Amino acid sequence: MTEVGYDLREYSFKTPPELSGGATRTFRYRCVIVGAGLAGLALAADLGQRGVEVVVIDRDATSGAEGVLSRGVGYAARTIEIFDRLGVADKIAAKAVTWNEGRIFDDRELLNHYVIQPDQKQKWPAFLNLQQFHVEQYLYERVEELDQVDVRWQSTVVGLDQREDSVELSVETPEGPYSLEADWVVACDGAHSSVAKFLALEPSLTYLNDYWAYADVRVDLGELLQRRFWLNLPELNGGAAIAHQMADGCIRYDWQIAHVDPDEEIAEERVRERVTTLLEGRTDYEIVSIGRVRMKRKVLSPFLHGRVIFVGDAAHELPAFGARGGNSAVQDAENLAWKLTAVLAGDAGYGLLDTYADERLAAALENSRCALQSESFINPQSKGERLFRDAVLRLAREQEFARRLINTGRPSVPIVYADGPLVLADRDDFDAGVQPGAAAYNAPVTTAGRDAHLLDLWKGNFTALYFTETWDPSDPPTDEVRGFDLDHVIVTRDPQLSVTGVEVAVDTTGALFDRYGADAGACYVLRPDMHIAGRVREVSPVGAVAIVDQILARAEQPKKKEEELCR
Amino acid sequence: MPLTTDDGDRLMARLIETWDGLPPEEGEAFLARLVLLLANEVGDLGGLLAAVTAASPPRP
Repeated sequence: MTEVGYDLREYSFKTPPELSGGATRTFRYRCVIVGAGLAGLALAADLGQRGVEVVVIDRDATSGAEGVLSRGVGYAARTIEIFDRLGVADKIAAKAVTWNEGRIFDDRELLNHYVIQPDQKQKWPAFLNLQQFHVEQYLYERVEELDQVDVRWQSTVVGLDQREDSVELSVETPEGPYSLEADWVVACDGAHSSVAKFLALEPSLTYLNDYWAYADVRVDLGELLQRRFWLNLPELNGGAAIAHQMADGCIRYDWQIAHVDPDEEIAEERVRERVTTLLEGRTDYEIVSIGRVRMKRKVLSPFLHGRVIFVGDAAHELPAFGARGGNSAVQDAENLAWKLTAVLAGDAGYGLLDTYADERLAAALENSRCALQSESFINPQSKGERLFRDAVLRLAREQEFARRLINTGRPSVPIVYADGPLVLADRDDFDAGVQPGAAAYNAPVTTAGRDAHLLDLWKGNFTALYFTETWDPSDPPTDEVRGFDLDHVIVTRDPQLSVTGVEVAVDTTGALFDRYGADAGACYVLRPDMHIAGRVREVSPVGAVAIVDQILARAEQPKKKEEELCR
Repeated sequence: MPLTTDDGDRLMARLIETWDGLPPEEGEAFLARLVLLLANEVGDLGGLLAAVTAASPPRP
């Protein structure tokens, strides 16, 4: 029906050890990830980099679900920071399209032209647009470099048996079935998670009265098309449409389906009609792919069931406004990777995984709240939603404040984790700075005579940042707390400060001292996922060690006994 | 700063005059826009939410 305009790599099936050498054998693995999509590959790369051996099982033979659909398009700065640590950000940035402005229309009338002021001190732009399968392909190329990661394509999990101390998975392949055992299984198998079905888990699920069609369209407009959002289009019975530039000279169009039969709307002839209208009569384009989706909200709570952990769309889904699906999947994976690594190494217990479930559930609920508020604006259902939406649209023509109330998707921002086991509330006086639970702020530094950004120094461990112009401790600070590595970085405005045994980053622009509220000196402790664990005014490794020690002790208190959860 | 009695009287008259001059189906939209404009003048969310509560009919 549709022309296939993307050249996707196909991955061949490789005979796994279970099916090699005649007899079928069962092996036991530390961790098996079901699903080699965005979440599964990001997690595999993170675990692999941390030295964890992991098997990834995927039923497809290509990157990208269902072949050629672009799916997740917008990647936020915080997610790109994670990709940077996973070694794929440069590739993604080279392929992707940067955008920093957008236009919102009421029918064809321009209501708002906004520019997202880029923070020039950041290493990465606020948003990059790229078809999801490209991101997945780069992640796959990355895990191929890691001996710890074994990706098994064209392999379908057809059964799951949760036992007290392991999980058994049954797998079907082109060369026959086999089973394998795992200490932990991570379900990254997306919206229609088969793992959830095997466990008979019923997520809280609401389908919204909101259907969208989408098409990837290759067209040369002579310049990059920045984000456009149309509300109240008469040809869509008052529905909305969105356009986003992606890589490969493609634009992604999404439009609301107002018809009774959604399938009618994705017939090629109808798609051409829609796209031609949105392109103001142009017909010199190629349709690369077509799809449709119904907006929904799903939360599978908790994200942790015995020895099975849910990540990304398998755990939560929400309306697409604000690019919160793919971004939160990557952020889930990052939150989990260091915790699972520690549990597998015996450095932490089940309680640390509880913090994954709690923190990322809170993130999912926050994303869901934001997405549903956008949904209410874009697709008003109740009388009140329509009344106030229309009031905003009308006022937006004259009033700047009303333009800001136009909610066509608030861009994904990293959650601030609430005070909990892994986030210490302030005891010292901080009236500014980056609050505990928030993601670390990045800015340029010079270190060892070269230009870099602060987070380039970050190795995926607990990291103490000492904001100071002097350094007294003569002994090298301790580099391990409760089995976890602790790195130390001095952030200073004094380019002459010379310290042996501790890395020094010179805050050349002053942005770090400013944003961290550190003029009076401060010690921040970053968790291995770059969120702030806690902070104190006193600049000393003893204080940093105390913070790490305290939060790890708090995380050791499991909410429920592991054995109970397995039943 | 609270309205003086004089100014309040003038506002009441203007509100009634405007409302009565509108076709019935436009009254609600007018009030919604008015609320948003006034909210922007006030600015303080706590005060605004208190006003929403004060204006809501008592729960039976």
